[in-house]
Amino acid sequence: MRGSPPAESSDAAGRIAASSDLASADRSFSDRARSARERLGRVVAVGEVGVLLALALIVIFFYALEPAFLSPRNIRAILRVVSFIGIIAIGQTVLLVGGEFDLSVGAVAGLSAVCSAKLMTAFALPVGIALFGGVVVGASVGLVNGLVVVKLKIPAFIQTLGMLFIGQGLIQVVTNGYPVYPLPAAIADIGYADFIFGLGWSFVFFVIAALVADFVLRRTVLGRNMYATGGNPEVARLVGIDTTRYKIGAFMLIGTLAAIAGMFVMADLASGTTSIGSGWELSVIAGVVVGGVSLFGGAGTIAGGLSGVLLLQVVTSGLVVVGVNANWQQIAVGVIMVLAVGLDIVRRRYFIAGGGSTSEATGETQQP
Amino acid sequence: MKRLMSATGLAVVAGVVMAGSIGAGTPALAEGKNILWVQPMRDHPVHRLMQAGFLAKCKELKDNCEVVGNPSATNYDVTASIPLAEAAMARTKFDAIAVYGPGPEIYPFIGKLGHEGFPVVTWHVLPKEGSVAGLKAATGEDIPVAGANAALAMGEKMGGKGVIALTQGSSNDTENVMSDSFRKTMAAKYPDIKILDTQMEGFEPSAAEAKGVAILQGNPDVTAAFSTTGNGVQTWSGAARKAGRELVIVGMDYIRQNLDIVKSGAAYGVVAQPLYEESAKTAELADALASGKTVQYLTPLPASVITAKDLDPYYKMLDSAGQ
Repeated sequence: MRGSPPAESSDAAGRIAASSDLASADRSFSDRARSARERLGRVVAVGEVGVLLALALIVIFFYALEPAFLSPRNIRAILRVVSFIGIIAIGQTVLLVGGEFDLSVGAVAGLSAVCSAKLMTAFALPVGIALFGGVVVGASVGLVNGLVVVKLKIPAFIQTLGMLFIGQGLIQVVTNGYPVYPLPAAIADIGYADFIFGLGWSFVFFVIAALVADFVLRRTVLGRNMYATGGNPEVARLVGIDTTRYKIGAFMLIGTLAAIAGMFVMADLASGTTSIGSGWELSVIAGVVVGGVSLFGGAGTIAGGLSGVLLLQVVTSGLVVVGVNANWQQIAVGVIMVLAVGLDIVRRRYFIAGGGSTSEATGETQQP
Repeated sequence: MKRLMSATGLAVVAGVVMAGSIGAGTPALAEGKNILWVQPMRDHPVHRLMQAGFLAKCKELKDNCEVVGNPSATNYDVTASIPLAEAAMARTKFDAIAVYGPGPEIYPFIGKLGHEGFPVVTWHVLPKEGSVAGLKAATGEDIPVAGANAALAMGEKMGGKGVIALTQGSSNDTENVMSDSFRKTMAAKYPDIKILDTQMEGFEPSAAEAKGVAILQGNPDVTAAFSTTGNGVQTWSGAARKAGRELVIVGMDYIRQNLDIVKSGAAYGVVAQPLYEESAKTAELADALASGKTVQYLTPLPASVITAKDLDPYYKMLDSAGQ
């Protein structure tokens, strides 16, 4: 018939059209699949995903073995102790991002606590003034650390390790070896306050400080400059960033936060005891490093650092809840720490370097 | 991908290993009361001896007992120990709780437990009745009396003259009170004996011994040493040997190593702090309280100095405890 294509060519056209449709469908499907992979890659490439995944797996594991793991009592106990260490971990993360670290945090926490305790007892100062005094102690130690490290170029490891010993000695000098006890009733009121879920001032402060620090590091020029200072101090200096000021500021920040954490523990124990902060330096550094904060500077986030701290405490408490033999608990903590970091390294190599977005190809110098 | 698989495999292995050891630390919830023992610096040898006394008595009483505390032999961390106690309490309904209370920092936790209805017992120190909210019973030595006993024994052995080096493990309430009592008694009974300023030897053995040697080198007139910590006998016997000096040494605690040193003559004696007995008594008191019985608040126990001729009964006690 005129105008109609011949039957054979019609079939062929139909087949071509069908195959074209198929090819188009195939392309559309593979485009969608690639897009989904890219989206997944972007999600997985986010710095905190590794440690959060490890945390989720561990929580599920412990809960499966013993549902009491997620009981209100246990969760409350974990969050309480994480708030103390976490306050310091916020400062340590900022300092590590800036390319330095501080081993004296435990001693600073203890020293600030006992100084504050002495001010409110032996010197009978009002509680508010005494607490401010404790903060001044912590900030001052941070300033000293910062000046020595940055201006005198003494390595942070040596200066802050030395300050750890000095701080421990000063605690004994201030207290003469005895706990400062009893403290004014207002301190116990602070320590036993109950705002939410049985958690008090320390938790509230921890959450607010974490949110503020995270915002500052992620979203402000201050934060970007801190990453630059830690990532490549020479280049940072050349582009006009006052790296000296940033580093000294970070040391003062961690000193202040250590003091605040120490005083929260003092309130919790209702006693200016000489053992406050003892051994915290390793717990804090281990936690934030597990959370992906680099020991070499320029990488890491507040969320990651705090997730690492939480992970370690979850493991420690979880092992008790599920009844792991006490002699094996330390071994289990070490193994899980290595696995958590290993999982994160694999994530970075496989999802970032292998198939993630090009803007985060290195996975090492990553900013939020 | 290979690395991901091997990391996953490693995680599975670790999980299996952990699962295998689970339950070994949990009290078997059969008959008997459930009793929790909370003690910071859980792994210190002296604390381990205490735990042995507690667990042995628990077994005898057919109670289900568990020990928690920060897993360190050198770091006394109350803040880290409390969440571990809470974790155990989240899992098991305990009928009584024993809390190591040598200092006021643990009192709020004892108060909290008392408020929650748990009967609480402490040992090794004897707080005045009513001074610690929530505390139902306390057993242990009278620390000032123990310090005084050590001073009398050493003063007599030294013939009333000489110079004593005094060390503590750390500055804490228990050791401070012991040292103060030792000094006061010595000053009163043997005024010609001089005691040097207190030094902290710490809990790490090699560092402690090095400190002892340094004290001896700096003070050639030292003829005796008293230590208020469990490792002190080892510290000073080692330091004396290395410095080539003969000393009258008295330390704390009848752990096996200390008994062997006294038996060998390298030390004069140890203050037999009733570590095992007070811990066993703690289990008894906790069991009684868990059963709803009323107990006497204070149960003081003796702590005299034992020398080479007094050691046999203590060796037997250690043998029975598997220590």
